[in-house]
Amino acid sequence: MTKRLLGFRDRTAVAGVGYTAFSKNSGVSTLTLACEAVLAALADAGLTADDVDGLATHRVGDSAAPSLVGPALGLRAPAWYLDQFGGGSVSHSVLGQAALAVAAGLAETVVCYRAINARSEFRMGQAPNPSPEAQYQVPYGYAAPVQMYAMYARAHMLKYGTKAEHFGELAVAQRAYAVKNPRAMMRTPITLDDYLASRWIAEPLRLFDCCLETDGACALVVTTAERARDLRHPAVLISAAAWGGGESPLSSTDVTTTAAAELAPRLYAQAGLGPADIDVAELYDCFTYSVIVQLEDYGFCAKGDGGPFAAAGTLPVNTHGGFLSEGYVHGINHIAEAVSQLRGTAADRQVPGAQVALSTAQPGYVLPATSALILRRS
Amino acid sequence: MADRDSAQWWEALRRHEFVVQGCADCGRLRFPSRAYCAGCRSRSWRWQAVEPLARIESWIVTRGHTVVMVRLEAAADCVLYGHWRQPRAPRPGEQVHVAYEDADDVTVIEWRPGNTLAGGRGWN
Ligand SMILES: [Zn+2]
Repeated sequence: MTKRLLGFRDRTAVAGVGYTAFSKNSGVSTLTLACEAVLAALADAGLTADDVDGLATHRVGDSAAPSLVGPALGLRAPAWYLDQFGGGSVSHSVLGQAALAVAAGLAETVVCYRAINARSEFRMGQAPNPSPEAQYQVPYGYAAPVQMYAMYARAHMLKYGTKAEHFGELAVAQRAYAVKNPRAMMRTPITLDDYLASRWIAEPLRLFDCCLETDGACALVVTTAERARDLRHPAVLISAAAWGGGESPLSSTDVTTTAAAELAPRLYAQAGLGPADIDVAELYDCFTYSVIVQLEDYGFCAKGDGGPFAAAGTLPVNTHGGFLSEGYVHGINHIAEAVSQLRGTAADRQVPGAQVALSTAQPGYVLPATSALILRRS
Repeated sequence: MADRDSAQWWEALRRHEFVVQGCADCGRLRFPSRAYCAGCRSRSWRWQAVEPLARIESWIVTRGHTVVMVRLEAAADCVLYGHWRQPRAPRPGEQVHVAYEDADDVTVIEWRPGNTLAGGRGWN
């Protein structure tokens, strides 16, 4: 079924980016973190809270809802709220849904945020897994995301010959970017030997395959493309936003392919672009393997070649250091980095002439769905 | 742990019976347990005994023990997990069979190498 896209492409833009500090203990509530990031994003855009008529987030019961943040900031016209249940799979759909609301005229200025104390308060994987599939996994001591990713990483290694060194080169490259990122939590360079010497977390994944646990927040201002052009920064247009897709990992006939493979053609068609047009990719990296499988499923290389492709480093990936080295804000910091790259404000880690960026959510292993965005410089 | 869709599956496992749901209309086998057939959307189904044989697809070593992920030979879209208690690592693609591990209030699966039928010892 071919769907007509009625006026979504490039109709909306990201006009502001805001962060709190990333740390292991923020010492404040997620409500405070959310407010701080929202205000920072508005200031970056040259706007104030009085301009905001929408707020959007996603949560897994671990953070402040829009209905809490709105009154806390004294929003005068809260016309549109989105409080999406979910973790990394839905991180990019939040911005997509905000863009839909703005494109449809339901709201004009929506701030998307994610605020977590994922180190000091609500560590990921500690809440009970609400999926009924957990009952077939938990009795074997198989419950944590790192264990699931380790299982799929090994399946990929067995099927395609992907090697530890491929994971390692990716971790080393992302750390090298983080060294150039003042916001990053991990700024000491690592080598492939350091990677190979790091301890097992769930074999075949090592410590340096894993994301950080972070206290912090990030926020993005979404408004119309016209309005964004009148604001402080070059407008970064939302060319495409897609979500959904995927098979249950317990019913998948090929666990080395993710929901991203189903989503990618829809995403590219929305933007009228393809993988060859992407200058920089900020890909959800809860673990190194997540990047490798997405390089395949988003069409940058053939199925099975993600390991060597990642190790070769020909495509700039996770230029902020990603979850592995910048910090873990559940996906929104990947979108924020894409915006910085397209504005040309990424300083020492700037990809020269970056015009088009792909940013993605958890590709569909822990929950069988994903979401992604294509952004471009106006 | 069990829910309203899965309680009978766990009860069967407790009796050392290895079953999955079979669609009464199109015959498609499914696991985990749920009301509707994803192939034809029928809600008519029956428990169906299948050979408790699978192939190793992947494994992890976590906190000193090995967890395997296997694919049923009877249905390629049925993925299960289980303990691995052999002194050696699993081999990719190797055939395994169910051994039932009884705890106080639940029975879980250990996957063991080979096909016990070939040895004439039955499924336990
Ligand atoms: Zn059926």
